[in-house]
Amino acid sequence: MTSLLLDGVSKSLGGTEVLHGISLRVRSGTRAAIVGSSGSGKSTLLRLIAGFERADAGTIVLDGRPVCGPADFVPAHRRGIGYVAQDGALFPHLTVESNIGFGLRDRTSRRQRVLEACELVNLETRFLRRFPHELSGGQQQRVALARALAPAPGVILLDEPFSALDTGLRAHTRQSVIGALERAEVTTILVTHDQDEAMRFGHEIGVLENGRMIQYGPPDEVFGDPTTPLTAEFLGAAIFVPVQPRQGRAESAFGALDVRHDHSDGAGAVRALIRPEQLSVTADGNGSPARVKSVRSHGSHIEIDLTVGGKPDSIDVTLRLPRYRLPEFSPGCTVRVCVCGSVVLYDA
Amino acid sequence: MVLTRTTRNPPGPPPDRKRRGASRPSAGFLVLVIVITLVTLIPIGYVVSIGLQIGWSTLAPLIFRPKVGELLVNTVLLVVIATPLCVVLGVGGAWLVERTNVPGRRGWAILLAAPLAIPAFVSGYAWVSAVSSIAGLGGGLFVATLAYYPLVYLPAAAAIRGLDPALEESARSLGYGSWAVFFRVVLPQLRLAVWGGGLIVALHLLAEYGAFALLRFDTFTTAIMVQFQSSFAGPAASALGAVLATLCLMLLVLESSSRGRARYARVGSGVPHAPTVFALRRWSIPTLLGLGTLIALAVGVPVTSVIRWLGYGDPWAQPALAAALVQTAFLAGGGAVLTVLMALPIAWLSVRHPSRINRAIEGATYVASSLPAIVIALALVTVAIRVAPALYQTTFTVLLAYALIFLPRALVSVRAGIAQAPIGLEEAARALGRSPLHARIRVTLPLLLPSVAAGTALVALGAANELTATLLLAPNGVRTLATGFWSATAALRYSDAAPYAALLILLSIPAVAIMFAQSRKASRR
Repeated sequence: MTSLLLDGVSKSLGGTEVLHGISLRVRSGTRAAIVGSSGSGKSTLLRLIAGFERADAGTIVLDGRPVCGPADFVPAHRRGIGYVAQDGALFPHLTVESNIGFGLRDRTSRRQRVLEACELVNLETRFLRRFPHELSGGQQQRVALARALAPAPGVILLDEPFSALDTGLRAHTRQSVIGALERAEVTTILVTHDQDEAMRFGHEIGVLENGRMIQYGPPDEVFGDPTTPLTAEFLGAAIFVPVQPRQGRAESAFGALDVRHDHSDGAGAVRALIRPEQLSVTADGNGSPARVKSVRSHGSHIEIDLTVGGKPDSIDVTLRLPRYRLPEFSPGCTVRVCVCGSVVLYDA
Repeated sequence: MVLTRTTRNPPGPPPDRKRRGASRPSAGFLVLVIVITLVTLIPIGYVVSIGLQIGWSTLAPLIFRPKVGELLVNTVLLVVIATPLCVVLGVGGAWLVERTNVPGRRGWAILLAAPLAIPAFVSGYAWVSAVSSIAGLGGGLFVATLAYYPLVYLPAAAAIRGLDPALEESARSLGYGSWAVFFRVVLPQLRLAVWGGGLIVALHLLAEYGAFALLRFDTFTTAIMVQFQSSFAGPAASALGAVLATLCLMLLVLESSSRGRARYARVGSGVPHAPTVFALRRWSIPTLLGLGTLIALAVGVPVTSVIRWLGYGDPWAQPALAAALVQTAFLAGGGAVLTVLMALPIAWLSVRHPSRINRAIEGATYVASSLPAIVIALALVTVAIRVAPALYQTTFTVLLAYALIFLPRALVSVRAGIAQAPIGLEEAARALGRSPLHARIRVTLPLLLPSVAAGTALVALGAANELTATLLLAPNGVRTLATGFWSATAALRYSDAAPYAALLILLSIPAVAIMFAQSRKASRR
C-alpha cells in the first residue's frame, strides 16, 4: 500500500498552462476521483503522476520517495504505478494472457499471477487465449485493469475507464472495478468528466477547473459545501435565490432559511444555493405560495415548472416528482413550497 | 514505373490536442529526415536547374520546334482520351462488383485488378507480336487503357465500400430511383477516388516508355530516350525532360485544386449496415459479356500471346536468364531495403510528431516521386556526372533511383503500420515496468513489421519490373529481367523475350495481391 502526495504541481503544454499549483494527498489504499470538464487538465494530471511527462514545477512524492521534483525524475517504468488508458490500450498483437502477463518479469510465477489478476477482475479464464478484438468493450476494460493490477502496483491510475461503455454496462463495470480495487487494496486515482461517477467512486473527490484544483475532500463534504457557485452547479442541479442575511438566517422568497456555510464577503448582494431535492411541494400546507406554469409527464416521473413569489423577485424552478402525484397539479393552480434543510451563501 | 499510389497523403490521426507540443523529435532525428528529404528533391532541383543553367536562350529553340509540338499533341491526346476511358472502366467495374448482383462478384473483383500484374510494356509486346498492325495513337490508347484502368478501379471500389448506405437510402426515400441515386449520390462521393486514380493514370501515361516504344507511338518519354541514346544527357534531352516534368507538376496542381475542402467521410457513429444490392435481372448476360471481353483483352490476350511465344524453340534454355534473375533479385531487394529505410523516418515524423511542417515534408517526397522515372534517371545521371563521378553507372545509383521512384509505395505502407501502433500502447508498456526502448521493441516493432514487410515487398516487386530508369542507369553488363526482355524484344527475338515476360508477370502477382488486400483493409475501417 502506497500513499501519493502532490505539492504545487504545474505544467504547460505548447505555451499554455494546463495545470496550475495542484496539491493533493491520497491516503494509502483509498480511492480519489478527480472530476473536471474536458480541457480542465485532468488527463495531463494523470500523465504527470504516471511519469509520461515531467512537471514544470512542484513535486510528486510516492510513499515518501520523490518521483518528480526539481532535482529528481523517475521515469514511468521505474515508478511502479499502474495505468489504465481510456480505450484500454490493449496490445492488439498479444493474447489476453500475454497482455495481462506483460508486466510480469518472473516467468515461473507468471501464470499464477495472471490467474490471480483474472480473479480480481472476475474475468473468466476461457478468455485468456483470445485476442483483444475478440472481446466486448466491458471485457476489454477488465483485461486492461487486470493487466495493470497484475504486477501489484502501489498506485493505479484510471483515465475515464468507463466512458467508452454503454450506460447500463457502465454502472455494472464501475461496481466490479471498485470491488477489484478493494480486493487488491491499491491506492487509486480516477479522472472523469461525470460528477455522479466521481461521487460514487471516490473516498475523496477533487474538482478541477481550468487547471486548478478548486476543492478536494470527501464527496459529502464537497457536495454539501461547494466553495464556489461554479462548483455547486458542476456537481448537480442547483437553484440560486437572492437572500437578505439577517441574524444568522437568510430571508428569501421561500421565507427565512437556515445557513450552514457562508462564502459571501458580507458586503453587497448575497444568494443562496438550494438543491431541487430540498424543495417540498404540497397542495395546501406550510410554505410560500407558488404558481404552477406547466406539467410534463415522463413515464415514472413528472416535471413541473413553478414560479415562486411575486414580481419582480419571482424565481422559476423545475421540480421532478413521482408519477402518483400527477393529479395534485394542473397548469395555473397555486401550491405551497418550502425548503427542507439548510443553504450555502455566496456573493451574488 | 510506379504501379499505384492509391492512397496518396492518407489522413493521419488527428493531432492530439492534449499532447500538443508534449513530444519533440530529437535534433539528430530531424537532421536525418531533412537529409532524406533533400535527397528525394534531387529530381525537382534538376528540373529547376535546367532552366537556370542552360538558360532560356538555349532552351527556347529546343522546346519550340515542330517535333516538340508533335510530341505535345501526342502526349496531351493520350492523357486526355485514355484517362477518362480508364475512369469509366474503373468506376463502372467497381460499381458492378460492389453494388450489383452480377454473378461471380468475388471472382470479378479480383480479375478486374489482375491487369496490374502485367507490366504495360509486356502487354505492348504481347499485342504487337500478335497483331502487328497495332500502332500509333490508337494502339497506344488501346493498350494503355487496358493496362491502367485498375489504377482507378482499386480506389473506386474501396471508396464505394466505404460509403454509408444510409445516404443512398435517404436519397431513395426522397424519391430517387437507382440510376438517379448513382449519379447524384454515389458518383459525387467518389470524386476524391476518381480524381486521385485519374491522376495516377495520367502520371503513368506520361512516364510509360516501353509500351509506347513498341507500339511506335512517340511521346515525350520515348523521345527523351531517343535523345539520350544519341546525345546523352545533353541540352536536348534535358529540355524535353523539363517540359515533361512541367506537365506532371501541372497535373498535380490540377488534381489538388480540384479536391476542394469538402469532406466525404462518414459523419456520425454507428456501424454501417449492408448496402442494398442492385438487381441486374435482364442486364446480367450483357454485363457478363462486357466484363468477360474486358478481361479477355486486358489479361487473356497478353497471357496467351506470351504462352504462344514460349512454345517456339527452347527459350528457357537461354544462359542469360539465370543471371538476369539473380541481378534482378539483388537490385530489387537492395532498392527495397534502401527505400523502406528512407521511408521509415519520414513516416515516423509525420505520424508521431504531426505538425504542419512535418506533413509538408512528407508531401514534398510524394511530389518528387510523381516525376516520371526517366526524369528521375536523367537527374541522377546529371548529378552523378557533375557532383560525384564515382557514383555514375554504379549499383548505388540504380538503388537510389528505385528509392526515389517507389518511395510513395513504402511510405503508404509504413505510415499505416506506425498509425496502428499508437503512442498509448508504448505508454501502457512503460507503466507496466518496461523501459522506453524495451516498450518499443516489444510493442511497436511487432505491430510495425507486417506493414514494413508489405512495403518492402511492394517496392521490391515494383523495382523488379522497372524498365526505363534501369535502362539509363544500370552499370555496364548488368541486365535485369526487364532490360533483358527489352533487348530481346528490340532485336525482334520475340520467343527469347517470352520467358522474361512470363517471369515479370509472375513477379507482379504478389504485388497486386498485396495492393488488393491493402485497398480492402483501408476501406474496412
